[in-house]
Amino acid sequence: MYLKKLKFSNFRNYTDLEIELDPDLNLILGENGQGKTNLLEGIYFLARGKSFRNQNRDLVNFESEKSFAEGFFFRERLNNSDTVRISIDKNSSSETTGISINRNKVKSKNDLAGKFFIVDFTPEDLSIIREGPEKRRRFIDNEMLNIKPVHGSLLKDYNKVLRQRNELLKNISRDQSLKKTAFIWDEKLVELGIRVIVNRIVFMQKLNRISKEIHTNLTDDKENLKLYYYSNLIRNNDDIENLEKIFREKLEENFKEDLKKGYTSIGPHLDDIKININDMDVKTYGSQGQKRTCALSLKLSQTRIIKEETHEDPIILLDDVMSELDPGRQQRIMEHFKDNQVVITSTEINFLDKLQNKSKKIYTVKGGKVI
Amino acid sequence: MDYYSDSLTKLINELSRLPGIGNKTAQRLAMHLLKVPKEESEALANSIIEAKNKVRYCKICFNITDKETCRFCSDEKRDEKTICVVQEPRDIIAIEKTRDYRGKYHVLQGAISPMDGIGPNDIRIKELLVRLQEVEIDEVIVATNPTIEGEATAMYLSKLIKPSGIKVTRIAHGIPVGGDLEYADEVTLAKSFEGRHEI
Repeated sequence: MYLKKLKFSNFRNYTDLEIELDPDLNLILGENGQGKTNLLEGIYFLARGKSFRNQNRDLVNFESEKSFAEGFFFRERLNNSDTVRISIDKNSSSETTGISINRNKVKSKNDLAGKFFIVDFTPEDLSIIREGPEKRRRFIDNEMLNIKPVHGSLLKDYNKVLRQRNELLKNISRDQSLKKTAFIWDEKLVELGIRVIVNRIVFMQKLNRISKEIHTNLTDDKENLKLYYYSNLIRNNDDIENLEKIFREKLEENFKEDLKKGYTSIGPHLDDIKININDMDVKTYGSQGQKRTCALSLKLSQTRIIKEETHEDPIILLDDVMSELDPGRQQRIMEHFKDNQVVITSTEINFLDKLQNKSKKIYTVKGGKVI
Repeated sequence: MDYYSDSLTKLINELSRLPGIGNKTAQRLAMHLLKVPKEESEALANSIIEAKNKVRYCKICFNITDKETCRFCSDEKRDEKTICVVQEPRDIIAIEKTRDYRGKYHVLQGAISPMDGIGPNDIRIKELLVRLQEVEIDEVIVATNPTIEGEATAMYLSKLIKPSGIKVTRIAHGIPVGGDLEYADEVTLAKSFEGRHEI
C-alpha cells in the first residue's frame, strides 16, 4: 500500500501543507530543524493514530489550538483506497478527538490497526537493543498489532487487571479484610496473562525464523541472530502446557512479598526478550555496530512479517538512518524495499545514485514548507 | 480569579462539579439560568430538591424509588425465588425492556474496583447476603457488566453464595445478536465458545 496524498493543518511546524507522494520513493531533503522528521511523524500518525515520539497533543502547532492530518492511502493489490483523517484538539482531554476512515468516525486508534501498515526506521530503534525490557516488550506488542489487532484489547484488559491488583495490594495494608478479594484479581490476571504470553511466544517463533534469515544476510553469514522469550514464569515455550499451574503457584508464592511492595512481581508485564548473536547476549557484549545491525534486522523482519501475514507491502519511513550506514549496507537495505513506498529524510542527496531503479520525487523542506 | 460576582462564581463552581460538565459548559449553563424567567430557574432548583428529598433507595433491593420499597419488590406477581443482581438502577430498566424476566432484583450500586477505592463493603453485597438468609431463594442471576470490574464482582459473589447451596448463574456473553463473527474480538469469541450449548 502507499500514501498518495497528504494534508496537514497546523501540524507541528506545518501550518498548511498539501503534497502528492510518489508510490515508490520520496526523498525529503532539508537542513536540521526544518520539519523533515515532522513530515514522517505525520505519515506515521495517519497510519497508527499516535506519534512515534510524543503525546498527540504536542503535535498541534504551538500557536494553534487544533490541528488535523489527512491522508489518502491506496492499495494496489485490491485497487481500493481509504481516506484517514485525524483531528487533535490541544484542550481536549482525550488524546485524539476524532479519527475517521472515509468520513466514518471510528472509536479509537485501535481501529486503524490491521488496516494501515507502516514501519518506521529511526535512530531511536537502537533503544530496543540497548535499553530495558519495556522497550522490547513494546516492540513485540506493537509489531503484533499489525497482524493481530485483538492483541491490543487483550493487553489493555491485562493492564487494567494488573493496576486493580496492585491497588488492592496497597489497600490491604490499610484494611486486612480486603485480602479475601485478592483471588478475583489473581483469577483474571492468570486468565488474561496466559493469553498475552502465548500470543507473544507464537509471534516470537515467526520473528525468530525471519530475523535470523535477514540478519545472516545483512552480516554476510558472519552472525547468527537468535531471540529468546524470557518470562518469570517460563522460558520460551518449555512447559507451556503447565503455564496456568505455574502462574497460579508463583502468584501464591510471591503474595507476601507483593503485599510488602504493593506491586505484582509475577506476570507478562515483566517479561523480556533476550537477543543473542552467535550465542552471546548482544545487549551486554555487542558492539555499537552490532546493536545497530540487530535493531535493523528486527525492523526489517517487521516489514517481512506484515507482507507474509497481510500480503500488503507496508509504507517504509527512514528517518536519518541511512547516513549512519556504509554504502554497501545502504544498498542491501534498499533491496528489501523494492516493492514498498519509501519516504526518506536526509540532509544530503549523496546516496541517491543507489536508488536509480526507482521512480522518485524529491522534496526540499524549509521552515514548515515544501519548496 | 473572580471575574463575576460571588454568587455567580458559586453557581458556576457547583455546576462544574456535575459529571461531564467542564468549566466552560458550567459558565454557559449559569449564564443561561440567569437569562431565563425566574420561574424556570426556580422550577429547576425545586425539582432538584424535591427529587433529592423524595427519592430514596428501596430498603429491600436498593433500587431507586420514592416509596419504602420499589415497585418490583412490592409486586406480588413476580417470582420471589429468583434474584437478578445488577450494578446500577438503570440496568433494571434495560432488563425490564426485554419483558422476559419476572423475578426480583438486587442493585449493588457499583462494582468492586480497588482503583476507585471500592471494596466489597462499599457496595450492597452484605445486604444481598442478608436477603438470601431471610427469604428462600432458588437462584441468583449475576448480571453485572461484562467489564473487568463487573466480572470480578460476579466471581466474588459466586464464591460467597455457592457454599449456601443456592444456584448462582452468570448471564451469557459472546457474539451480539445480528453481529458478524468476523468482527468479534478474540476474547469475546473465546467466551462464546466456552459458553456454547447443544442445539
